[in-house]
Amino acid sequence: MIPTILIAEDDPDDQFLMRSAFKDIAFDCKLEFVKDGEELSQYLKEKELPDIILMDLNMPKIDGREMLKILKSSELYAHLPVMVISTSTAEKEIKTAYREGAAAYIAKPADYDTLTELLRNLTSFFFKSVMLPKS
Amino acid sequence: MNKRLVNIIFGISLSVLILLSVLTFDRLSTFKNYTNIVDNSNQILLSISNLKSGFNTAIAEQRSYLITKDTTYYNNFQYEKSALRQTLQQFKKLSRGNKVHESYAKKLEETADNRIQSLLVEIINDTATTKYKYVQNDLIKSNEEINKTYYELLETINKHERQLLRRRLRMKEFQEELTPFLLFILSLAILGIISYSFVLISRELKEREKATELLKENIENLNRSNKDLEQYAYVASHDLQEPLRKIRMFGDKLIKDYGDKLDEEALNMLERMDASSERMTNLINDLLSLSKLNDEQPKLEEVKLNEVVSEVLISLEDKIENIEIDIGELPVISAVKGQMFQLFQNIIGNALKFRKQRNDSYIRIRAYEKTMYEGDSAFEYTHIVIKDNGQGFDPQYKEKMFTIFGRLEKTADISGTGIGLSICSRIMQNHGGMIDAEGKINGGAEFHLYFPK
Repeated sequence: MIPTILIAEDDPDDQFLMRSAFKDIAFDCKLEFVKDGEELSQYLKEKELPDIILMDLNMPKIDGREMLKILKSSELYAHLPVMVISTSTAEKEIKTAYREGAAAYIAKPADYDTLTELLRNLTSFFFKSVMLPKS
Repeated sequence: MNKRLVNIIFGISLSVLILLSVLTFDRLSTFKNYTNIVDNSNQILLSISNLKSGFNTAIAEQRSYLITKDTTYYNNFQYEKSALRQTLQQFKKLSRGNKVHESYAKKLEETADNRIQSLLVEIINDTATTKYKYVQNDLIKSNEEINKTYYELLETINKHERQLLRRRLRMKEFQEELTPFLLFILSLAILGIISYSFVLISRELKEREKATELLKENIENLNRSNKDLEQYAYVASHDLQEPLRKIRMFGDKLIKDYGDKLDEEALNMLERMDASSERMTNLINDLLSLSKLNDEQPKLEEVKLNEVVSEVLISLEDKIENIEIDIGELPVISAVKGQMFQLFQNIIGNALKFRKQRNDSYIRIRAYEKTMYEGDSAFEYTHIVIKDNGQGFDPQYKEKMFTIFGRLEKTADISGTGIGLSICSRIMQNHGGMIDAEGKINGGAEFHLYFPK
């Protein structure tokens, strides 16, 4: 069974880049996109739970900070690993995210190679250790 | 208000005050003078009256002796006679210095002598033998003339002296009335001048207070707009980062995915685009770090500069080759460690970047003690010098170097944003210190850091 990665990202460019980066690392997974916190909640309610959530902090309606709190305080979703992806490198932001239960905090890389490298590392770590027993 | 006016006013009040003291002194001495003169007149009058009554008594004693032949009267006469001589001496003394009085005194002495002589002659005549004896009454009668001259002279002197006394008294009175009036007028004048200068000074102080208030307000406004500007720079650079990141990413992706389909020229253009966007990313990052410097409330700690420089050298490791780096004994200072790292990284980084391709390139770092004077007060500084023998710079652009984007030369083979030195300058400002540079084109550069102790 291939893993599902849910990406909450409002920017279509970033969505495009993520999609192609995942394609480039040839990681076999199902990519799902939502545009904001509301859509994310809707998705979780209606569809099968994803294996990882990659979430931007700055989103319309309910933003990533708020969403992180909601997810981590809910019994149903607290176990889902949430990785925050943001342009902000402010120490305060990073600390808050970890305190609220983020699994990782990723600063959006400035070039494409770094992005692919990053996604490769992340996915390999997660799925080698977590997914292997399943298969 | 100009300073000259104040000086003039104070000069005037000072001179009026001096005038007042001199005048007071002069008035008091004049007073004393007049009192003395009046006293002198009174004494002269007294001695005149003494001379008059003394003579009367002497004549009476002489007459009593002539009638009774009692020697007591004769002795009394002798006594009166010497008393008269004494009074005459006194009169002479009193009249010293006054020509009219002196001549009077001389005349009086002569006449008095005559008169005494005549009285003595009368006594001798009384005891003489009948052969030579004048009729006493005739003698007395003829002597009466001398007596009369004497009394007349006394009367003249008396009259003259009285007139003099009257005049002197009048003058004294005039002085007595004039002096307080004069002093009062002068005091009033001083009071007026002082009040006027008080008004002037208080007006000036009020204006100054207003100006200070205005200055404070302006400084506050300036600080506020500076803060706004910094905030603006932060937001702007933060927002600029986002689209730039995408430009770079799509460019990367384009080269990656379609690189083999593009010809060399197109690839070259894409690479140039990529290099430019990378440079812009660095610019924005530097701008961000500069505006973060303004935001931070620095936490001071004891920083070992030798350690900081070692860390910096490690971070620049890949750029250090074929260059001698000589670091002296550096002190421990109270500073923000992160900022010290940034400071030395920028300056040493610059020295590496602008070195010359030769075999004896060096960077030398030394620490000294420095005392600077501002007016009379001395300030102690830790003085750090970072010297190299690289490309140097044109000293006329020294000021520009420390401003944002003040890069002196756009050289294709040297990367840099031009913010580095303005970050250094800001860091030194944050530490209450100064940064300075010396250099020549192709003659190396020397950076001076001054940390207050």
